[in-house]
Amino acid sequence: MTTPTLDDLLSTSSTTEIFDFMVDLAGQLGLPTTSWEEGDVTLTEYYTSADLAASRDRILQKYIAAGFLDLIAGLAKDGVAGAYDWLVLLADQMYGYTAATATFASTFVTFENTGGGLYQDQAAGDVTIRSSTSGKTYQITNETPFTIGSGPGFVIEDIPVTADEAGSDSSAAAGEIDELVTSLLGVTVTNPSFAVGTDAESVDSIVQGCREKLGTLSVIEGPPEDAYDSVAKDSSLTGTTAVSRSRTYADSDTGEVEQYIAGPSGELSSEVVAAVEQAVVSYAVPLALATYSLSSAVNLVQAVTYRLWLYDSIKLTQAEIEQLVEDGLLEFFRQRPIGGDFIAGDTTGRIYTSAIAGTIKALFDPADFISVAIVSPATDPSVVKNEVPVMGLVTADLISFSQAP
Amino acid sequence: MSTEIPRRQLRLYYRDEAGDFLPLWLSEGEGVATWWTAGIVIDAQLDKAYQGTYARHPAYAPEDALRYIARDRGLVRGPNEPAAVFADRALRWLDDHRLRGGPWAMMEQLRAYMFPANVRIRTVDDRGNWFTIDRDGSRSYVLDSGTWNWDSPVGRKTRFWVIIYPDSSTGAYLPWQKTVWGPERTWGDPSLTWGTTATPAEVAAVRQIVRVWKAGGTTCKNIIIAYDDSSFDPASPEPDGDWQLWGTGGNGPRTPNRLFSARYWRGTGE
Repeated sequence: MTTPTLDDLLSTSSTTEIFDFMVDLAGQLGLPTTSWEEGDVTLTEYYTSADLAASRDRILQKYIAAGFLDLIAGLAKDGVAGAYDWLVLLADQMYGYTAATATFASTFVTFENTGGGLYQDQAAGDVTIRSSTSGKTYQITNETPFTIGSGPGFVIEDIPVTADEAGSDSSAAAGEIDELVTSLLGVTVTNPSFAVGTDAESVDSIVQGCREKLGTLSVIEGPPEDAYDSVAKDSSLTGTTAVSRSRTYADSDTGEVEQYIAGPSGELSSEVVAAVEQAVVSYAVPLALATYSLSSAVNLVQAVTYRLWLYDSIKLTQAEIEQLVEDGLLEFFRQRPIGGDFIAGDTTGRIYTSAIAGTIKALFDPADFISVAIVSPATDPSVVKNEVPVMGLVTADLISFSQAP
Repeated sequence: MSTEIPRRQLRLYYRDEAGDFLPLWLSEGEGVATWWTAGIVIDAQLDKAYQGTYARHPAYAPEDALRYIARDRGLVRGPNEPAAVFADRALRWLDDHRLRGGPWAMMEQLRAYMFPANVRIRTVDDRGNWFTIDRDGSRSYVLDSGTWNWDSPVGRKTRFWVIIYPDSSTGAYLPWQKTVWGPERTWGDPSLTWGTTATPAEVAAVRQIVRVWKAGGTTCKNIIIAYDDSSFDPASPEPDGDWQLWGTGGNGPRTPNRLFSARYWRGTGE
């Protein structure tokens, strides 16, 4: 018997493929399959079994791939249902790495009553408010009911609110939470300070975190460079979830280790840097071997201008396409390493325009996509070792629709 | 795979066991073929799940799963390393990673990469600390010998060198022969490197292992392929302070600084 390869084990069969196999096998076993007509009892039973088997095959694929970091990550990035959960499980059970979950944006708001209405005993959940910028909604989460007194001029401050949806889409700058969904005539609302929600940790970030975890195993003085990166991004050690990127330069003939950190949006505050430094000094920097320095990376804002050619089968408006590209490039830039990407042998990190084009291309179904060209940057911009690429203005110079073949 | 997967045991084959529960019309004649056809699909998926579970374990993994296991465990499989040998190494991954940053773990990873060549490997640093794994696997070291002087460095340095002595027991050097450019080698051939038969991918892999397994705050200056077993002896190594260049002598005839019997690869920092 031929031993199956991993590729064999990961392959899936469709309902039709399994059904055809069963009918063919039944024929080889002597059953009168050629006389079976649509609606036949056996055909119906076979089709039902085939459909269930195809369903099980897709589950098996994830189950088997869940033993391998790259494979389950690939399925998760392809959007296969359930694959992300398997990745989180593998990260936790094999590497001891806890993937960050999405958080709910929360802040405090101020209500002002410009009318004469009296609104008593507003308890948690009684009032829904909304950001006119994002359209996202928030609920008041006060422990003690409060009253909005008659106005004009009545103001009540510091009412806690939390977003209805987890994730960064519900983040809001000061003043952006400015609409009432619940009808309170004459009452206005605003948030004096920002609200920050974070997304669930990305697939690439989880994979990288798992690989870097190996560096922390070392008990040798002078841990490998990825131990520094692992500690910097471990919120259980640093007390902050702000760090999503870290780069350590530990190839030195004088025992120096330089480390730079950044968040999804780039530069980090001095408070975050201080917290991370304390953790790295506690868990990674060895005795006597090295001198260590930690800094926030500096933003390298990169604007992108592109031209895009698509088939009219795409059924998206120009505005929707532009938003799709902007969202895709935002994630692309959030994944760019501090110091840029290095091709083997190159001594300068860069942002590769081919990678930008590839990211845009991957957003579309191949059947709808014709071509993309990056107008700006015209060449691959270099990235200094302490710089972190962040997305600047994204402009569609041209989006052209051709008749689908 | 290096080990046969144990056969599924007990009542796990639908086709074998379902017969006990089937009605009469499915237990004889064409009925048997009818349910057996459905049963084979169920059994195939049970086999798939069973073998798929084993596929993630190095000792039972199919050949094409080993590269994923290698990546997941932070290991580099040698180009000639058999599945069974790699599987044993993969099982030691946690113990090996605990010693990452020290010389022994790095040298063991390099020896494994060059399997089955029976090489001797040494590391030496600016302070004259020597660590050796000999061909028989025995280990020795000399601390703070003061005998190593590559380029008369100023100030304290944290550089080290890796010295690989190829295996000549078969009459040819393994894993890499020493070479010179000649009619059988084409200038600019992307599959070739200077001085040995190592491919660019093999050189990159060796550098990768050194970079990943060394300590932070250090740098590997050179990886030396030493074809003379007596060279680079800890008691009296050849470098005498001007080996940063191949030769000296200005514009006139140059005097070689380095041994012709060795090849010098860039390390991790350049």
